[in-house]
Amino acid sequence: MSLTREQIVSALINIVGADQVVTEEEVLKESSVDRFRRFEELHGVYTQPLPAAIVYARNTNDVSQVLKLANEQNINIVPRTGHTATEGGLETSVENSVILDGSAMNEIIQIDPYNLQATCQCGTPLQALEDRLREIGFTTGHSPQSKPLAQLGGLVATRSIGQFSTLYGGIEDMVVGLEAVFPNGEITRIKNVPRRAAGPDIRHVIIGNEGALCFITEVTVKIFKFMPENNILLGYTLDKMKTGFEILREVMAEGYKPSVARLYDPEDGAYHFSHFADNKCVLIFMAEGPKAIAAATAEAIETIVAKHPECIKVDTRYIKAWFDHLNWDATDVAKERAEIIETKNIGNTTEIAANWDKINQIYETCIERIRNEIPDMTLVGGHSSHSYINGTNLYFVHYYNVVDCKPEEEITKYHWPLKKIIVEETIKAGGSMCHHHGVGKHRTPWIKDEYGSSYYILETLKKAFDPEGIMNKGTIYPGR
Amino acid sequence: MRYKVVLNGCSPNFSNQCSSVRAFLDYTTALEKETQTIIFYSNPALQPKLTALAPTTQVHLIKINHYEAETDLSILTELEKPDPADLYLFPGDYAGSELAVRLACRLNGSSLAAVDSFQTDQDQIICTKAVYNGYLQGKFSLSKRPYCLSLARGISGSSNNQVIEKREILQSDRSEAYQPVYIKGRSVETAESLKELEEAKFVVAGGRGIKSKDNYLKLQQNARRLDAALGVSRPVAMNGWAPLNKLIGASGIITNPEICLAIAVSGSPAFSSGIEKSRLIIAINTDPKAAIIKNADLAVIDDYKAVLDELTRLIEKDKNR
Amino acid sequence: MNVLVCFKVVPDLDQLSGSDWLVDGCSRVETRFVKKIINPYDESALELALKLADQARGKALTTNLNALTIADSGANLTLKSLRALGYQEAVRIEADTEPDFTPEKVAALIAAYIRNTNVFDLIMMGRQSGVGDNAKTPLLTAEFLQWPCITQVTAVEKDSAGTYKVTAMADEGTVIRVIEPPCVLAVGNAPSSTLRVPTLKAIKEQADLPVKTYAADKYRNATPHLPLKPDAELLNIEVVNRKRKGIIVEGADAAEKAQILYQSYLKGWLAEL
Repeated sequence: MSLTREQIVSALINIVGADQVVTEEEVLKESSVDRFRRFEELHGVYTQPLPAAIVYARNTNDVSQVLKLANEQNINIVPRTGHTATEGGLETSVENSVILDGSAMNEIIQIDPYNLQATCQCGTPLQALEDRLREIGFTTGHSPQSKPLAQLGGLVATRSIGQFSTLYGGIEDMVVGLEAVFPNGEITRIKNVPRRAAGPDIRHVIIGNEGALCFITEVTVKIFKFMPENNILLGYTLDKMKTGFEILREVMAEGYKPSVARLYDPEDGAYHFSHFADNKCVLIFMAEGPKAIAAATAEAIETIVAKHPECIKVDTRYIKAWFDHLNWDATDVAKERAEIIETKNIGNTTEIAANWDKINQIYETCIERIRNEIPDMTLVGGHSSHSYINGTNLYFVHYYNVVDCKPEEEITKYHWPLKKIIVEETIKAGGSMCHHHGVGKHRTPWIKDEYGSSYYILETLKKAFDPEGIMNKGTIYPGR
Repeated sequence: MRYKVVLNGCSPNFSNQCSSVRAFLDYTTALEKETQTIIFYSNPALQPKLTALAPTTQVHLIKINHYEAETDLSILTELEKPDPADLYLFPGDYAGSELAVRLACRLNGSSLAAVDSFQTDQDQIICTKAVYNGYLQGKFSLSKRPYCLSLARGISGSSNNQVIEKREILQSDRSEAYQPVYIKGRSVETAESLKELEEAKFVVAGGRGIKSKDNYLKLQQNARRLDAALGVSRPVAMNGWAPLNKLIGASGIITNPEICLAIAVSGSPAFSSGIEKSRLIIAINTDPKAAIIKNADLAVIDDYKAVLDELTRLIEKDKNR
Repeated sequence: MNVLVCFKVVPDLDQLSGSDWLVDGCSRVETRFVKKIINPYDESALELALKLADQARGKALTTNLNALTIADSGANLTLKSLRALGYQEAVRIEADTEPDFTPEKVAALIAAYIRNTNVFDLIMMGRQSGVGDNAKTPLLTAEFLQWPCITQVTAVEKDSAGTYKVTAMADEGTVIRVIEPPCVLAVGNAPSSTLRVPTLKAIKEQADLPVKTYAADKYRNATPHLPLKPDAELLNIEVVNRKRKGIIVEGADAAEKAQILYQSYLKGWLAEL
């Protein structure tokens, strides 16, 4: 027999004390969703089951005890830190879920400039760590758009990536050691070593688990020397995305790693760069690092770009102003909310990745299909922002007017059909349907297609670590 | 220089108009025969009060039916010829802001709106006002008389508080004067007086970060418990969460409190100009990089609800002792 | 019913960082590199006009919406976008100089355009725009046309076939006037006036149609007294310094911060009130 709400709340209070348990209805409603459902939320419509409580863990032991309780009593746990998720990962998919929130565990435990490592609790805001590091001349190198609001636990749980990834890598390249708690209460600690070959790299069970296997309580990341004085920003306009992809590929293939390598199509570009790029694609690079390397990288990029006469260099002052305001803080979020309510126009994103030989085809097919098949679109475009030696990502941006439909129907009428097109075309072409936002709850219908025969490995992890199925039901693994 | 001050006696904010003009004009100028205040009014019962507050010795009271720009403009234009002025001074309220510019056009003079300060200088006057959304202050020169200036909102101060003893009063009845023909019907919904917010010693200002109308209403309750007046930043009013007349800032009310509690406000210059006269500014915001933090004396970086609830509790506790 | 909305595309000044406000001894700030937006008060006017057209349609009355800006080709995207939203005409007069700090010149051009086309009964525009913040253009336009002008407009509707109902903020409160055109409406702080977004389909239909552009010269002779220089000449600009101490009150949690704030600072201040 499952526990009642009151019994769940009681049991939680027993573990962490009443001060750490929140049951105010407004807060519970707000905690039943994340950015995926913001249209219905803005209209005061809450379609997801109300959680029983939010628990603010004070320490790893709290996390362990709460998970053990949930495991014994079959309570769905939604792990959370910064509440900036975009794919439904934080939605409460069953009645009486408990949000296990790590944002109170926000201590920066140690900064080690000699070993170039920093250790933080899961609730440390990335911005706070980054600000502290910069004071002493270092950086995390991690700069997702959610930086002002996101916290370390969630950033690791979703395999996040930032604007400077082409040089520094994604979070998986930055993580050294971890501490995570599993559903049975087991507290596991992975030590900080530069590398080891002592069996498979078990960190990857934790990194990207989206709260479906464990709760991350502590993270150690590499830190890097911060040398912004050596940064060289380069910007160009060009006619075709295909040319842009060619240039990105060549820069990577020749062995260069600019920190920023972004290619915007005219639609997505118009939104940001209309004051200097009229119906053109925009290519932006930043060369970063030690002086000689930054200079060599910039020089190489200029040479590669020069081979394509359609590329016209842009005064970097245009790009700098844009770049300085790229991240999303609380003010931007609040402004967006008001605009959405007034104009009934809302935008979302779908990020995918593929090898070089498929990326342009995926781009063109998806844009074409969306324009033809989805009604009321006001903007559809995309940009590539994370490149690798063997391919790149595509960040589709899609805005539409919500016409003749109730707030809770917006997802069915517009967002799911959009994702369906992009996901299916990408998987068909052999690419990946999720580049860095995570599967959440809304790309689960395609998870088996995404993995093919390797789904066996993913599936078995769930059976092994969460046999009772209490961790974030509906996330990554389909079915609730 | 012959100055004419033009005031709207049909407006509930008349005393504010007077105090802003007084702060602007120095005392000697106010006493000179060269300076006259024209007061348009509609309610004869208010005459004594209007006269008593007027900022100059010479006062010309003109009765009209109600304020309409076209009415006032046609009368002022008529009065100019027999008695030309070098400078027309209007307060920074809605009436003053529109009349100054339109009058200059009709009199072939020059105008500048929302003026912070001015100096005379031979054949020109030099004025300053806010430009670039309030980020910067611009200095302008005007050389065509009559100069028609409307003051910036919220100018106040004690530069000229002397009581004017002897008045020279002129009376006119222009109730039959030019009635704007284009208006076929007219109704007025009087708003809650702005005085409370303009004169409050303790102001609470809510910004976009309060996130909803419900939260605005809750903030209203907090403000009441704190005995503070409540205002909002532009986005809050524009979202319809609060009435427009609570708007604090360059396009709304300029407050002048001892204490201002700026809650979940990012702090654009347009807003900041509405609270910058506060002696003490406390900001509560989750964003340590918000512009308001550097423009505040004290700041708490945290979610406002929890901080405000505790603050209210502490203040009330001491009040009730 | 022919409505003309005048708007200005301005730099998004909030995007300028501290060091960009270079103002030693100059009278202009470099804003070329910053994203452009429609001046917020003009944006309100554009949306209020669309709402007017919606409301008039409900009364089986048609409205012809027109938009005008005095700008270079950078405004073309916005003009096409307005056509995609239902503006019958969205045109520009080529700006030969920076239109900032010259409201007399701008108003004269607008007035000349209106007289020359001779079809409009309602002119709408925002009360002022950032950079100049002159707050003069709509007023001067009305004076040059010798038309009445209502300021601080927050809403406008069709009242009957020949009249409009205009709501505006005034010193006495909210004034609602039923008026006969022609009239100039200067839009103030109008709630719920964010400009709606055109669909891709609508934009595509407008994409290839060129934007009608007129030379300012065409109207130079038509204006009775096109001012050669502005009433108020800008001499120089300075940064406004509002900086205070910005002391952060620290504490373990929100409640503790509130306690420290109160005990160490606010309590004393409140006692003196």
